[in-house]
Amino acid sequence: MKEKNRKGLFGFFQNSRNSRDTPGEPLDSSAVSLEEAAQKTAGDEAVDAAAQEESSPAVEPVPPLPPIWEPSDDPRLVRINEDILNIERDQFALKAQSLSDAFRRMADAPREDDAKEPEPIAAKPQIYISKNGMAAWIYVIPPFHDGKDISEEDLISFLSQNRVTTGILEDALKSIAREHIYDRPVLVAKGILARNGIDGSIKENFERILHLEFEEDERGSVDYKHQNNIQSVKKDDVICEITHAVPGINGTNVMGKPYLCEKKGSEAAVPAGRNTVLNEDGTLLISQKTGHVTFSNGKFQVEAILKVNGDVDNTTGNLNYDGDIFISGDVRNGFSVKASGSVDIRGSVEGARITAGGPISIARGMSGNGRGVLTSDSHIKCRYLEHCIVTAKGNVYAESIINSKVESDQDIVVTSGVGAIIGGSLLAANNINAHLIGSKVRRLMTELTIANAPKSVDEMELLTKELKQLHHNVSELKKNSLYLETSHREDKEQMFEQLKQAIESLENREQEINQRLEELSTDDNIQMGLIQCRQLLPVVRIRIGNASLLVNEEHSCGTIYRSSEGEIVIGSN
Amino acid sequence: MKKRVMIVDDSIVARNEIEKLLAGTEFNVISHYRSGEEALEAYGKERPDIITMDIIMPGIDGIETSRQLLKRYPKAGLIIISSLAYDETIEMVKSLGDSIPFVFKPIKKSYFISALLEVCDSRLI
Repeated sequence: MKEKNRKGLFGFFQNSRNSRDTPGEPLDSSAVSLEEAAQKTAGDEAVDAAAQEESSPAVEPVPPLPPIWEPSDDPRLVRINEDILNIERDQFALKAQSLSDAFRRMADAPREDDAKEPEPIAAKPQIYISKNGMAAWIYVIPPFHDGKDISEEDLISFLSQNRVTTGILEDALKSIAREHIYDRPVLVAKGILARNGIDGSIKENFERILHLEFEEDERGSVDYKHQNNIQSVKKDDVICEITHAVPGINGTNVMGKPYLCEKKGSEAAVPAGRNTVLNEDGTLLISQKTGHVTFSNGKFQVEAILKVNGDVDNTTGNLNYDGDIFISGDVRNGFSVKASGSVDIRGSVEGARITAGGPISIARGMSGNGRGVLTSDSHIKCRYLEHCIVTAKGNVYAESIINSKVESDQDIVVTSGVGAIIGGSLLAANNINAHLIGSKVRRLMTELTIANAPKSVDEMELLTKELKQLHHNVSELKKNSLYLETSHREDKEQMFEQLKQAIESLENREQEINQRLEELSTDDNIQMGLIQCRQLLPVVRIRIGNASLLVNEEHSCGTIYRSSEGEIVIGSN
Repeated sequence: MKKRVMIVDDSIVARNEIEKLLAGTEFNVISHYRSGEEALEAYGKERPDIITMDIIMPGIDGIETSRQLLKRYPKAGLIIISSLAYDETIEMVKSLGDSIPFVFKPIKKSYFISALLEVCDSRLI
């Protein structure tokens, strides 16, 4: 064992094995050393090939051995090709066998002095470490002439000298020593396999690029209105789901050096843009606002305001958005814009439908072509309104209102610019203010109504109608009842009872309606609304509460109101 | 040969109404524009015999459009058509030129045709 500088066959083998002097370098000395060891020296030439074939035991093929590492379904494990390791082991065994044979031949060679006992030769271990450093085998050349058997301590020391420190199979060492396992390669150390990491991933719940798909119906028409090209999002909605990376774990070779994993596992880049935030554990990208999601510069952002650069037309389709909408252009005929917030239109609106939970503002005006509709839960501002239907819970402001139906739960104010109300019907809960009402064209009728609750006017009309029908029905039922008295029907009593119940039911309903009409009338009596204008041109019908006036002459007026006597008065300037 | 008429009105209802009124007459609608700006740009290429001009439109109103048009093309045949039948607007139209008719909406056919013929006579169209 301590024959590092020995010459000849053994010296060659020892010296080449000891050339592994740099830690961490793949050890590939076994092939070189055993090649050199196989070269015959002058002293060994006496052993010829024929004698070798006769005297040395035949090289038996190494039987298949169990796998070095236990099979596993874990896809992350960096498996090592054990077939290659087995080939390396077999090559080592072959060459170690040759060496063992040489020792045997030497031990068996005739001695010059027969009287002297041959010297005992102790068992000699040979080691082979695989090229990747992940396995090591020991082949023990047996002792000769009662030489010392190999012990476990010898093996441990031998491994230490050869810098094998990790994954030592102590049971294998014990077995070699206890069972005198010679002339066979035994696996004595195996490295710790590496585990690959898993890259992080992101599941995106929104599209980065919206692809508009237009479908044709059976007539070949394409619906450009329903394009669904807005990705709406509510506050706290999940934009992305993030799966964190699992880091890779390096293995360790038998010499204690790292055996690198192939995949380290890297985190995915989270596309977090404006108004988005990661949750505490970084697994969810969440919207901080209600609005719509867009993707640009590699990031998702949430905008509260939906901005349309240009017109609402075939290129955009209808809009339906939870938030505010800003439109820089026009809204074309037949399209609709719906927002839970405000709608701000910098162009004009044709025969379109605009619905907003917040204010509506139209910079250039609306020419509704008889089909335009504006509906707002707040106020409406429009440069002009022509041929459209407008309903607002707040005020309605315009420079002119022409041939339109306008209802406001507060005021209608037409006092800027031309300040003209021409034709159509206007209803306000409080006041109507304008410069000019009506026009020189007498064929045009303009209707103005002031009612506490604009809907109460409709309700009164409906209830009055229902009451009229009800009276008629009661009258008919009573007639039937009279007729039944004179009839001889078998089910007379039953019929009487049914008629009685029907009449009672109708009379109850009549009471309800009368009560409600009284309430509405009471509300109406405290109507304080006013109409103010500079000039009133016929023909104008004015209603304030249940009072009505038809104006057929021109007036320069100040305020139109209902007097305490219940009459409509046109106060002059 | 039929006289060529350009309609300038943002209301489709009004445009359709005018076309309908002119059907079967010696006047033919060649184009229509929603705004004064579009009409000013198109006039030079199309050179209609007569323009019918609304007053309330998106952008510049019909009075200002007419002023700019007459500055560039003093002989342009022009009729103002509007609901704003008030003394003030009548005065504004008069300020554009004496022989510019003002037809009130809703349009009465006889008044309209009469206005068209008046413009043809005054402009020798």
